[in-house]
Amino acid sequence: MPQNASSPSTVTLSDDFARRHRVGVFRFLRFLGASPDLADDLCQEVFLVMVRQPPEDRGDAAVAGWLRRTAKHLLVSRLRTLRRGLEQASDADLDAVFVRYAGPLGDDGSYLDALSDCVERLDVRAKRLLHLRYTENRSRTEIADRLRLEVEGVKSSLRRTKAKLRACVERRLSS
Amino acid sequence: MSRTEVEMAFLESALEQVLESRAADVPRSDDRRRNASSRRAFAPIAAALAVAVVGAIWALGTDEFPAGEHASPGSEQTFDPDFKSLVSPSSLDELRAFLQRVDRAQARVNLARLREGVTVPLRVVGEPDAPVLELPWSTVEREALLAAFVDDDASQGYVADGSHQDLPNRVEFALGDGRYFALDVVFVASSGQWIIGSGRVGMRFAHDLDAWLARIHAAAEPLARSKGVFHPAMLPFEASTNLPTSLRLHEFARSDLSALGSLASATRLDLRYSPGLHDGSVVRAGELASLRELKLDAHRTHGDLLRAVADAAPRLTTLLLLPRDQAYWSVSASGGGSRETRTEFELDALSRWPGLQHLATTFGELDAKDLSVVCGLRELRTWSASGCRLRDGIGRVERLASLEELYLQDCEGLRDRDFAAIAKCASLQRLDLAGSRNAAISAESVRALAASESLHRLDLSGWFRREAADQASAWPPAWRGAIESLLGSSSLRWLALVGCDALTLDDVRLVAATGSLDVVVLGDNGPLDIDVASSVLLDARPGMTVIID
Repeated sequence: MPQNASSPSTVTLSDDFARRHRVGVFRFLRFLGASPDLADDLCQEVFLVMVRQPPEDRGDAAVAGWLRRTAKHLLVSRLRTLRRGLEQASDADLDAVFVRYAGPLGDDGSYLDALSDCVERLDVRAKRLLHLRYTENRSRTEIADRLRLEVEGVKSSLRRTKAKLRACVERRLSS
Repeated sequence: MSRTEVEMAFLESALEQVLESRAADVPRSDDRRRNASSRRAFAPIAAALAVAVVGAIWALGTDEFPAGEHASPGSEQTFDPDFKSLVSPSSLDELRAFLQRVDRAQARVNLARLREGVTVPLRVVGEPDAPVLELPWSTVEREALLAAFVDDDASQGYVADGSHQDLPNRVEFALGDGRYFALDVVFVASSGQWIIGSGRVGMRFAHDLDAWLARIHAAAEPLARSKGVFHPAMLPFEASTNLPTSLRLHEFARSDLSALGSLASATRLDLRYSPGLHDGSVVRAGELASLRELKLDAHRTHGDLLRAVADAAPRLTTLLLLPRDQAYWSVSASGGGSRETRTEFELDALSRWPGLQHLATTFGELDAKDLSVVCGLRELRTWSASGCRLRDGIGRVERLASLEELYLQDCEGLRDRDFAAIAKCASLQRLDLAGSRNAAISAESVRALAASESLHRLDLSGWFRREAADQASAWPPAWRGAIESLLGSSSLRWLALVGCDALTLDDVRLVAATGSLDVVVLGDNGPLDIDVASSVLLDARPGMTVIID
């Protein structure tokens, strides 16, 4: 079969390439539910896969998409699951949400900056709630015990706090 | 699943990252400050370890050697986000020169050009006169991968669990009497062509050098002609190949017990992760003659073991019976201890160490006999009985004239009269009673503590809770009076009231107005607005430190 002379070349790993794409892959893995250490590990594996089976170079955004798909595949292979709630999401939705908030390469930090500001504006109790849930990874029951709340109260407080944060971030990003 | 749900999941992941960075920036509680301080103190060592192992490959990998503590290649030390240090050396000299130039913890080395025709010097660590062998890189790499993949969780050259914080700060290598040796396992994670990470797999031991060598020979045959392990030149620890004096024998197996005989020079041992060693028959008299500090698993220790240890290690000054993964004196059930499996320690052997200065007997059942032995340790300066059930109270603790720190966190069985005894400890400076409040304790207990002239740090976290106090008036009058007495003590400088959800602003004002406190620790105080409480304290006492846990 004749070769198409205009077919794109394959991607090669270089300092510059790694610099451009590593943050995006890392963040995508965190988005899918990987711990920092695991995300770090899998980042390396993603690049290794790329070295072994380099994709066609169709531009940064397309390559970033390829890296994210590879990352997801590796994460699922390792954990057999994703962040709770994401198992049923389509690849297209995952990618679309990620690109919307983190940019085509996943390296746009404006969402994190906005969120950080919004967290700062929460009251002490809400911050405490988030800290227990997301930093200390406490269960709702443990949080309820610590904060003297009902378990359902923790659930609804978390839901309200996240909704508040989401609205705050959206406002900041749109402004 | 809707797009909105995916967006909320994105928010959650971003929240985790934001909160992680905040937690790293602003450690809030006292313990976290200590943790942070510990991490900072350890950072150069961890970095040195990471630096040490890049480029180092160890030709060992047999299941005879129990896996040691595992160090995951942390992102700060093993991943170069910019790949600034990417090279493809064609010779070891070139590699060495490169490793000298760059931050080796960040180095990425493409091995492809090195694999063919390059040999690596092989020598016995700690025996400078041993013959240096030349081993082909390809053979070495195979062995290195074996070493790297000993952990089931390892994949693509990574060992997945553990943390740098748990690493002991020793990297010395030793060759013992020719039969026993302890050495530090390092690995370079490689996946065919790339060094993709590096780390310290852990401390490993072997007692049968010949068997170990036979495996090496079989693996590297026909070129491995003699004994040895190797590491490349120019590694930081080359200059200090002393006998180890601090070891953690993780997963040390019964079959390796004879190796203990080579540890006569060890001064500190942590055997909590070595279930095979919690048996009185495993140590022999005088075998650990230099040992000063010993950590044993609180849930496995019993009288026979303690008596055997007393024979083996007569010069012990620190004995810590702690649950696994507990690094501090104040332990908690959430940190690995279990009240459901409290241990009958049988502490009679402690009398064999009259010079014992630091003791932890956590998560045990302590009766009058045990307490009598402990209270006879006249040199004792620190004692933690956290998590214990005290069947007969705290005993005659006032006899411990040297006792400076007493930890009774989450204890059961304290009674009023115990506090009078505690207050009589002439040297007691620090008392941790967090979570130990019970129905048998009245306000008189706190009033009794006010009699102590030396106590300057007191943790009453979890004592004043809504179900136990009169909500209308916060602390009931008796308690309020007792607290006033305590705060009137001129010695008290530090007070923790975390988790006291009955605390009101009036109580905080009382704390602010009375006494000579320098530090107040609050947190989880129910409806109390912590910001307002902090303001009240700081307004009243500008020099005060308020810690929000």
